Amino acid sequence: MASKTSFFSRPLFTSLVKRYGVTCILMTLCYATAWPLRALLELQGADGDAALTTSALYDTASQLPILVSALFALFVAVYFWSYLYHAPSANMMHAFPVTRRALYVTTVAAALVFLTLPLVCAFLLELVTAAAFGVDAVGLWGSWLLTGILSSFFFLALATVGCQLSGHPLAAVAFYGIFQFGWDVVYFLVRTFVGSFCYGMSDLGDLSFSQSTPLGFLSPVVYLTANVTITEGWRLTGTQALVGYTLCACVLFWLGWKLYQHRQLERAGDMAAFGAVKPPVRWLVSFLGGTLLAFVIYAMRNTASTSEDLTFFLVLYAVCSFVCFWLCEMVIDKSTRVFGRARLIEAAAACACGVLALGLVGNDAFGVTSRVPASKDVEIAYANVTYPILAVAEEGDGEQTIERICALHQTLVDDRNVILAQLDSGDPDVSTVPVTIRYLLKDGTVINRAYQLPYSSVILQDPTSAAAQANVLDGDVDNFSASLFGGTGWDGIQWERAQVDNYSVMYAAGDGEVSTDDGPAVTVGQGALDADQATELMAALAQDMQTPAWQRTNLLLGADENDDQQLEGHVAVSGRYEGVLPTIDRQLSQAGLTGAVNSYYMSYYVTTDTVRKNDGSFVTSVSFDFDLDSSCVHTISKLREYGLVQTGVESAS
Amino acid sequence: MTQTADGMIVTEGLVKKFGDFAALDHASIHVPRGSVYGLVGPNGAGKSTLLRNVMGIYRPDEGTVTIDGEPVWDNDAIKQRIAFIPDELFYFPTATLLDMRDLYRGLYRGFDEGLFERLGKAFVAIDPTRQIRHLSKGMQKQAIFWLSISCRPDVVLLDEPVDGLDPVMRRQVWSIILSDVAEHGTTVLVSSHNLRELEDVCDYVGIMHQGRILLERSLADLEGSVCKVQVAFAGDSPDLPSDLTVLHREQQGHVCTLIVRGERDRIVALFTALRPLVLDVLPLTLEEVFVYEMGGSDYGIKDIVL
Repeated sequence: MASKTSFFSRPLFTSLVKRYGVTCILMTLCYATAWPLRALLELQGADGDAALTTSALYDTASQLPILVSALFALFVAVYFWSYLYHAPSANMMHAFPVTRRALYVTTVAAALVFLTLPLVCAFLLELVTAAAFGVDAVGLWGSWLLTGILSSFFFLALATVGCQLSGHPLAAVAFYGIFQFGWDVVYFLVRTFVGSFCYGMSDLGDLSFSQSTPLGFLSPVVYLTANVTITEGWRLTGTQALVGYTLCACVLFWLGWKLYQHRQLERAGDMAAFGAVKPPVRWLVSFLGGTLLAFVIYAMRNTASTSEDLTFFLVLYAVCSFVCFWLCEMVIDKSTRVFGRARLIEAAAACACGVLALGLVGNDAFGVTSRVPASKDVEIAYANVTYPILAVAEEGDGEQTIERICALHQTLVDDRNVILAQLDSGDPDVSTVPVTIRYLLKDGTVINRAYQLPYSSVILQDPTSAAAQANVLDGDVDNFSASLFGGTGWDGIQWERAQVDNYSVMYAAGDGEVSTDDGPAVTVGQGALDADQATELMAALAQDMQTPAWQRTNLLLGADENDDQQLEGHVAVSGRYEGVLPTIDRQLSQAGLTGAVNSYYMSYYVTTDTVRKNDGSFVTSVSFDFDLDSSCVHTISKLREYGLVQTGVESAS
Repeated sequence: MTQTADGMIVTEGLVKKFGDFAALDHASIHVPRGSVYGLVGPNGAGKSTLLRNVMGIYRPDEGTVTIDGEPVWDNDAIKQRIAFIPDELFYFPTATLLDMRDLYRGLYRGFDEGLFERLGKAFVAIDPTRQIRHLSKGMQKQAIFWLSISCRPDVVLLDEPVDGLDPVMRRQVWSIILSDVAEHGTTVLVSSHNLRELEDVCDYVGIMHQGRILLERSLADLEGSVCKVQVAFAGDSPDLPSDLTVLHREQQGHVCTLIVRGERDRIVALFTALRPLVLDVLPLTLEEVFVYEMGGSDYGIKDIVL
């Protein structure tokens, strides 16, 4: 009868520990060098200063051993399970009077000891080092140790499953890599494909990174590194993640046991220890390798018509995935003679499925790219043409702005073919501006879109065109003011002073170029304005922004090409705002719509600096720089009033 | 096939496939307690596979394997009584013989330290403090024998056991094994191509081909079941009786050499009735029995014109 209590073999455990003892010592030295020794050097540098000592300890301990644990776990797992990869050793180990259960448990236990012992040794050295400098750092290093042990436990479980699925050490490493980064790679490739070929999907905002999605935990080492930290108060954060992965580890160890239980030793040396593993690996490599290779080759191609791009890519993908399928099969079988009929059918099926899936996504078969939410369903809308615009439902004119944004979005979708044709036309008069649109819907859904918007003076003449609609959106002075100074606009800012810099007159030289040499001489002025003057100047600027001329030429970056004479200059206005200025960046972050906020309106520039006052409140210093042109008649009029600008005629007289 | 009684090692209908290839095809053997059973067969017959199934290393796809009535698979209690000496040896990379002794001593409850010391006199050429991987192939084999016998096994499974050993050591090893059989009733299942050596030690023989056991009987019965007949007739050779099973026939002039299956006395009577001028009936060696039996299974020596 088989022994019912045989779940651990002490002689085997002792043998494993004795055999790999040197390796354990080397691992301990690695930990000791990276942490206790570094702590010692940093503490010596602190030279007894309490704040520096605390900072030095924090700097060292906050480098948590997650990545090192991931590497060591793989190394230890492959090392300890290596007997499964060689027929003579596998036969010998299973000829011993030890049950498979005892073999598995003993090997796992020995591996855990090997991973834990160096961590504990490093921990003790760290405590001694801190104590030598008079610091009680048990809590700090305890958090470090806990992170190391729990992450080692999980990574060993993951590596064990990889080792059980494979019959070769390289395959075990490959499986481990797939478990750690497979999700990131898949997400990256799919996101890149969607961004390249799906209209409006080139900027996915928060969804650009797999870790920002709810499934980020599928890349364990990345997720743990990002979410488990030690704060400056020496507090460990991300313990939920650690606990979650620890529970997963228990499940993985059970799975590893089940695999070991059914493992066929005759597969020692094969890439896959179970036949059922081969097809999914082939299909996965076919898809990932095919997509990656196709992108590499695609990137070497000169830019062509966008309508041909998807078809060309799909052809590339079909060829590359077919090749990758066979390469994978050759590696799995460790033979070049793999071209059987059944495998040929499978390869064709894998390629066809990939082409079909990518084709459906690229052609928006599921209606994702053409989706425009109803304005009533939108909680927050963000649009960025030449500057960022944020609209919040039930706040001010938020609903009206949301309607305008949705209408612009709908036009961009409906006129897709016209827009793409304009972009492909090569017309030198047509320029482009990137348009970003983001929604936070009332049901919590986030939608991100990004388009290239073609515009020219001819296109702008059509009021139904997307360019014209974008121009109207950008021409709203409230939107512009909010983009610069946040929800408060510039009415909430107390202007304190302004500085006017050199002015010069630019003449149109008939061929469209401008120069300073073709007109009468002018007096160049510069000077400073006080608070009242700065306030009046800003009010005049606000008036200018409500003129049709400013709104008409907004997309054309303020330059009216019909003017023969243009007046240019630079004004810098400074003020203060009581509180934290509610910039669009900050509002987006609070709404969970983080992502790049771009402004292409280079003529206007705002910098802010928020500081905490002694009473605990905040104050923000605001600096607003802007360029003027001849359409800013009210502003120029004010500057003349202050004597800061004269024309050539006035100076001559 | 003749079934031997009261099997210590019994396999019934073993099937083991590697992909589409059936390495074992309903192989059944019965190894009596305290006997030496020789498993012979051509290359690729499935002998090593059968041994690994008996040892519980491979799990059969069909059929059963029992040792002393107990199933072997994942049975650490029954494995305590089994020693397996494979054709491909493995030792821990940095282990010395003493390190392996410590492991074996910990794993096998029946490990006899005194026997281990005494066996050192037989294996004097091996330095027990030297890493085993630095020893020659023959010495490594001696080392595994040394360790295995020290465990006092009730069953010994040997796969090409004396391959790589010098003639003196071969005799030494067989002497140790046979004395163990005689003194302790150890059951031995050995697979080998060296039929001349097996002939000296085996009580029972199983001939294996393409995963099947072709025949299985005692050595005496086996050798007695096939005869070599040299006969010469005056004039033309008469027709042989139809119930005579001729495995091989060779004519040189008037002398005809036949390998015939059957009992010696019966064969003598049959040929005597044909009134030959010359009649000699000779026993066959195990090697000759194997060659001619395999010839009947289309694995015989073929005349190839180069």
